[in-house]
Amino acid sequence: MPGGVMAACEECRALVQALNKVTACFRQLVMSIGGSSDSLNLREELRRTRRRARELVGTIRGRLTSALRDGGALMRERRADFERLWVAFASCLEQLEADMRRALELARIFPLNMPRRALVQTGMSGGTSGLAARALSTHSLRHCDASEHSEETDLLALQKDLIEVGETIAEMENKVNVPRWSIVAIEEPGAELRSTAIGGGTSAGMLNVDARRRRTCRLSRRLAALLFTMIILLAVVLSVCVAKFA
Amino acid sequence: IQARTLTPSGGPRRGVEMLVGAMQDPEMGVNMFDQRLLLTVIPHATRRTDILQNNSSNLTNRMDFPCTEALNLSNLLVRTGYVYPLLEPANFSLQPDDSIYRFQVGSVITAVLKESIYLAKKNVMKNGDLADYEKARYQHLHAKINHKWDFIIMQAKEQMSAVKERRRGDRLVLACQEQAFWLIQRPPVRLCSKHRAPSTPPCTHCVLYTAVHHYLFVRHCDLYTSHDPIMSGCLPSNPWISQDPSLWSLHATMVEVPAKQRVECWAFSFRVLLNDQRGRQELREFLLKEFSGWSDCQTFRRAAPRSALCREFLSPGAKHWINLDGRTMAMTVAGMKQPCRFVFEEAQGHIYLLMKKVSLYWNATHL
Repeated sequence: MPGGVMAACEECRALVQALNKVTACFRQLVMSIGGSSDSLNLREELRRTRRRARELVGTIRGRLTSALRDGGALMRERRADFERLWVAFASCLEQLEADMRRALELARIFPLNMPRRALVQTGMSGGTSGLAARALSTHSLRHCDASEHSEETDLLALQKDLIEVGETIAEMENKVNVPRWSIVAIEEPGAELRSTAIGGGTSAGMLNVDARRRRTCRLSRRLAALLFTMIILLAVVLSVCVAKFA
Repeated sequence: IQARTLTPSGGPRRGVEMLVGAMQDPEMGVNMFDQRLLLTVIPHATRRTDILQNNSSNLTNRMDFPCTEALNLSNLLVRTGYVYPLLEPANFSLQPDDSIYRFQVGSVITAVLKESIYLAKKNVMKNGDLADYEKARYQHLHAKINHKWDFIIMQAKEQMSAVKERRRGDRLVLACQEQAFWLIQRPPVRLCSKHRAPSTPPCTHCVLYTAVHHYLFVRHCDLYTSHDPIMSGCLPSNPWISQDPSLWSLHATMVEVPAKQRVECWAFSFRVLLNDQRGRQELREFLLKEFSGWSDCQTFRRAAPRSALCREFLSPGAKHWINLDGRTMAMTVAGMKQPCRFVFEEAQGHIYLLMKKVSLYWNATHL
């Protein structure tokens, strides 16, 4: 049984980290709305990210609520960990709600279907598909050719999601009694300067896999650059020799 | 509230956003060029002279304002963050030199949570070398929202990883935008006195704003002078001088008969009536009477013709009466010459509209 509780705790932690990732990516996407990189693709990425966030929120809410309402002795030992996860989950929800509200406000101000409405020239010109792929934990993102969702339905769906997140926050406050003042953070000030992960050793989550993949990509890029410079140098040396002996 | 009534639609913020939108137009808007950095080129940079020129033409052609207001308006746009400087990030005013600026989508949401995440990210980027006021703020936030600190670190690290998915140019733009946002919300302590940012974005009629405020204040003074106990004396006597507390008992919150001056104040505005508890009680009683009149009309409409109920309502000297305006009363009286079940239709409609207006106003003032 202790193993079961531990496993449940680790599973919740992994889910909260996934939601954390989706929240960060969603925020980055929202910062592009209304700017020069705003497009139908961006709106679709926002939709998909929101859907993923909604799924995660539903799952985590169920697991954490049942864990914290369980009065068993084993659960009580791990209660501090679950409470910490609960606070992290609630903070994620608050951030998501604020970002969704901003997205709704901006989407109303900058509708894409009106040709006369000018987007603000913010200097951003790149795509955001990498961000969306990161949020959905896929390698690449394929966009639909024709958008099935009109702007009005999108706004209504966003409003509905926003209300749902607000209701989740309120419901969690009512169902589970977690005294926030009694929770002391594990991380000290300046902990972000160290590269350790939150809450002790995490299971091999998607975060570690991504970091490893990025490190190998960077290494291969450096090798390619080195090879290229060597070829250039060789070409220069050869041309000098040819010129000298010609 | 007064400023909102002046702008075209949706409040002062909408006015500014329309102006910023007009400045983005490729033909009539501000001239933009590419900012060339060491390894990247970022488009949509603009100069002070271009902003000023565009604003002055906007003000004279579209809004009928003197073009001397262009400098003031441009400064306000910079100070509130719609346009941010690129070379001197902490200097939020239009500099009289070749400084370059860029637009951003106006950002209005601020939260303690996001500030702590921003400071954590900045701590990593500067390798622990924050400014003194930033360090103090960091410590303060760490103490204030300590229970969320694990999430803050987690989210800060994740945001820094996520932004790497973007192009280098976009990363620079986002970093500049975030820095500009926080420099406005939390200015460095030494620059506090010079660059105090207003808490709300300016309305396009910024020159008229103070004039309207002045006018409304003068009107308020004119209206309330005769009712002010210090300016115009109070009856029966000033308790502080005569030691007689009867003034306070006459103006008690839930007094049986409200004083004449108090009732006159209720006539100034509906809000004054609603703010006074005794006034609310009077309004409640009035509405109950009106509603009972409405429900009586409803009962009458459903009653069988020539029933006792009809006789009760239509006979001369009937005991029920309702508050009506002249036109509705005339129509009802004319209708009573040929009595039918719909004779009080107009009156009922009038009461319904009156109660609807009252409830809408109640909701609007109590939100």
